[in-house]
Amino acid sequence: MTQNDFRNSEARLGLYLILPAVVLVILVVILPIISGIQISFTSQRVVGSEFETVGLKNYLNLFGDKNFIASLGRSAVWVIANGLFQTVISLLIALLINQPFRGQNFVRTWILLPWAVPAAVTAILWRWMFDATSGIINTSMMGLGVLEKPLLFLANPEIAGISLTFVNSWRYVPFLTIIFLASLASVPEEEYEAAKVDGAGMWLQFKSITFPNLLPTLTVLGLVGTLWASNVFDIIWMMTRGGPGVSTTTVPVLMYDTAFYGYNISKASAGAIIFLLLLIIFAIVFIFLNRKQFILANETFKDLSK
Amino acid sequence: MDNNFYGKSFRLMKLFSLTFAAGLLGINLQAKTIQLTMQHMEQPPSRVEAMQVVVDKFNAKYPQYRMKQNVVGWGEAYSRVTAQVEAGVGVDLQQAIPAFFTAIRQTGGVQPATGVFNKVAKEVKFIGAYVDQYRADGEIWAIPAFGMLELLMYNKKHFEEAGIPHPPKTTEEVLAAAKKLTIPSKGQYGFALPASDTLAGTQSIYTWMGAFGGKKIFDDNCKPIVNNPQNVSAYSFLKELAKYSPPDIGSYAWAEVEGALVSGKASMITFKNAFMNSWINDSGLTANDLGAAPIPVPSDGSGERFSLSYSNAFMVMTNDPEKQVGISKFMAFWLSPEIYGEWLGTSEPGLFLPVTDNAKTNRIMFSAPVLSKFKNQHQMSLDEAPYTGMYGFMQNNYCPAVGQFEGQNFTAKAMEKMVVEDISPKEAVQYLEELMLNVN
Amino acid sequence: MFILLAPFLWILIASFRPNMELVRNQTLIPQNITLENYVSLFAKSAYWKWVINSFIVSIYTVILSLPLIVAGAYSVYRTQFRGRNVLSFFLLSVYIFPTALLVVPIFKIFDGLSLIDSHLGCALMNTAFAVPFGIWLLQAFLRSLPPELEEAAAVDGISKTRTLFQIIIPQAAPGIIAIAMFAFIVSWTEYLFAMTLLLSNDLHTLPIGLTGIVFGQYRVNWGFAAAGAVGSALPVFILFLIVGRWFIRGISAGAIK
Repeated sequence: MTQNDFRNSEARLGLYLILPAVVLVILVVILPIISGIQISFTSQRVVGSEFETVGLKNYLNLFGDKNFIASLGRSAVWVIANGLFQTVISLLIALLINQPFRGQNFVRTWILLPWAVPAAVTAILWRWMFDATSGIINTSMMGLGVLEKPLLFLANPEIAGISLTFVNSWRYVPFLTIIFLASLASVPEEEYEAAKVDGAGMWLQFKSITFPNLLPTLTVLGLVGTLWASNVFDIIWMMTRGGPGVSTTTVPVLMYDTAFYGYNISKASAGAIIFLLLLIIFAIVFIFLNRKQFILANETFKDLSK
Repeated sequence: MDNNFYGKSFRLMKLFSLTFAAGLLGINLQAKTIQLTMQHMEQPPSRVEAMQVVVDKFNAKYPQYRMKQNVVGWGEAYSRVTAQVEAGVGVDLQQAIPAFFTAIRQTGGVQPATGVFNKVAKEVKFIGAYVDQYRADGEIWAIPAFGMLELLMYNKKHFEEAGIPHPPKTTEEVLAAAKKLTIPSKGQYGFALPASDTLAGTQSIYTWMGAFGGKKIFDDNCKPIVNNPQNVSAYSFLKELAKYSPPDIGSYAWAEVEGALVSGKASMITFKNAFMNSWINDSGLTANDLGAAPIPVPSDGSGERFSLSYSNAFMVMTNDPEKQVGISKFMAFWLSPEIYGEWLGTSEPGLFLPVTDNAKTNRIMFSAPVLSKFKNQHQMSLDEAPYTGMYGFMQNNYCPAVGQFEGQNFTAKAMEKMVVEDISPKEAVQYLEELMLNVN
Repeated sequence: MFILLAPFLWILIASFRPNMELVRNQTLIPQNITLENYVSLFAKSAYWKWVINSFIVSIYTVILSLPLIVAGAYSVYRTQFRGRNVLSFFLLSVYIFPTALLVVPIFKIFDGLSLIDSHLGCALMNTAFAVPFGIWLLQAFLRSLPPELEEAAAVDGISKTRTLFQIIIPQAAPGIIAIAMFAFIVSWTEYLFAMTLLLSNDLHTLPIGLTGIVFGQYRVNWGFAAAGAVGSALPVFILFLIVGRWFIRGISAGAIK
């Protein structure tokens, strides 16, 4: 009887434990994606309207569509920028807060708050704060003499993306910080104490103790975070609607616009499928490169079942 | 013994049958209550409340019907309605504006409403222009409920301070006034023109295009006819006007435009006369300081008296004849003078214009608390109503491409390109035509 | 850190100022303090109804998610079976498709399950989005726990299930609580599916209510929006303060021997 064989009670248990989640995902995501794939092979414009099957026409059109290719590029930039920025900042904050200091508990709960605000409210408040003539950021920076002319945070195509990255990070950094904090908490104190006894400085402690222990978490965040970041839509749409011009039109934004304002659901579905395939390729590559971190149920436990 | 037994069972049977009959009757009576669901996109609480007042009164007057209102946001309306049609799930009466209607119609879920409309029209006199936007293929497809239109709204105090005696009547005067009113050191600009890829941009720009004579965007064969000298003049005007607007109009949506006027940041905007409440609360000025004027036209007479308006109407989504009767009763009730007048005055003062031609309705509307302070401005909306129209609905045939024209903000995209890349008005209009031709 | 907190402070202050001030250039120090925004929020809008609805949906979400997450994490981490790797990656497909395009098919599916216009339907959607990440994160936590405890338990002959409940879960408590918070907030701020699936106004959640007022057509009231932001965050803040005490106890207690 091999380990993986389902006659093995452990294997059966494992399967049953994960089955509900799998069923849920199939229901909620796979079925709709299949529907999306079907639609992408048609010429349907409005859901429920008449259509004809056109095979790969939508896909071919998209490959030659400059807008679409450009949006892929913007998505890539968006994901990398957000991913790096958020990870680094969250890690720094987590490390900072992890040191005991007065008011620590309060701060830890308080930083969660940006994340608890619905996207629309966040969007509208930041639009207000970014305003060129009456927004607090411009007025205070000009008052302090840091700026001479107001920065057009959302109206300048070159910095709109940066402004949005900032706002998006403002929303997610709290959550990531909590994750890192929980992860840091599981590092045993003794390792640090032993290192200190050995005379290791902060950087060495970080490199040899903290970082390796964080690696599993970081890897997961790297994979899932990329998927999340690439599908961010609400905050972009509500703050700039993909503008000014098309400077913040990432793939989800373009697909939404195509489906609901361009009234072309089949083209949008095709675009979403292309994007999905690209993400799958990314995931496969990422998993392969980090396969050590992704090896599950380590060998150390194998013998315990005997 | 036998007697008793039969007697008992007979009595029991009588009891049973009576109960059964009563039960049936009860069920029957219950079944006679027809459930109706109306769905609309007027989310702000004051509007939901005002609607509920109408619904409650209707339910009280017609106990055989039970009307319920559901609200959905404009952003999700399209998804939800198409999903409901796909699933065949109950929405009987659905709010629409013309472009939205053209999209939903393609789902096949909209029923011809001519019959229902005629029933309502027996009790209520409709203003023709609002009905026309929903005529197609020999049928009427929705019952108009309220209208909206754009005016030139301005800050009278600013005008006084700058020594400008009267609001602009010509487009040249608009530019001159805007120039005079732009005092960057005070944070004051003459105009707040939304040059953004949003509905606000689309509608404001189209209003001016119409004023310059370009109200028709399609010919009767649905071919785009926007590449003309009138539109070039319009865009040239807009390019100039953008100079007298705040620097970040490229990201302005409705909220920022309104905020600009109310806060004193801008002296003029084109807008629906919709913010009476916020003017009173946030401007620091009185109702009399809010000025409203018809959209100015070019002084050489090449334009026309025009503004953008659209008819908000309700589509009939059910083909159940009993429900359709209920719908006709509901619409007739809602549009009846007392109910309609009160609703117009309280739901969102100034924004909703009557689609009916009825003096009593108007009188009641004008006597509502907030609206009564803005009588003149509101009256102007009523006066301009006959001279208005909606892009894509000014020709004799129904052109589905209007959906994208509006949804993807073609006029605004052309304006944006002009302002950001500094191309000429002529090129901007050519670009607009390109966008319309490349609809795919 | 200041940059993170400053906007929130600003918003908090703004919620106490009349909108008239906020529409113009603002000074750092308010010139007028008012409670009118909060009055509008708490007394004149359906805030309490929305908060209660949001709570219901979020609690359902957490209740549905946690078992799925813990079970799934344990399965992935501690058991082996054919296809385990594939399935665990498969779960991530939830994040791979734009949610806006999921709406219409979901509506149809949920209609078939009678989950339209129900809080449970929303909770189910939220659960679907919270579970995959939750499973992945929890299994990452579990792997960074020292293995000696489990080995000791196995040597002592304690069954897998008991090990799970009595040793692993308490050890992983900080992680589990973080994930519960995650599931809660995913649900608390979710807007798209709530707006599409909840037809009746009485079932509407806080994001729907606030978005309706704040984005509702033309008018904008920044003071109210600020109050709305505070009003969204405050219940969560209070809830987490209470729950957070356990969290912090878990962190400072460290590895329980």
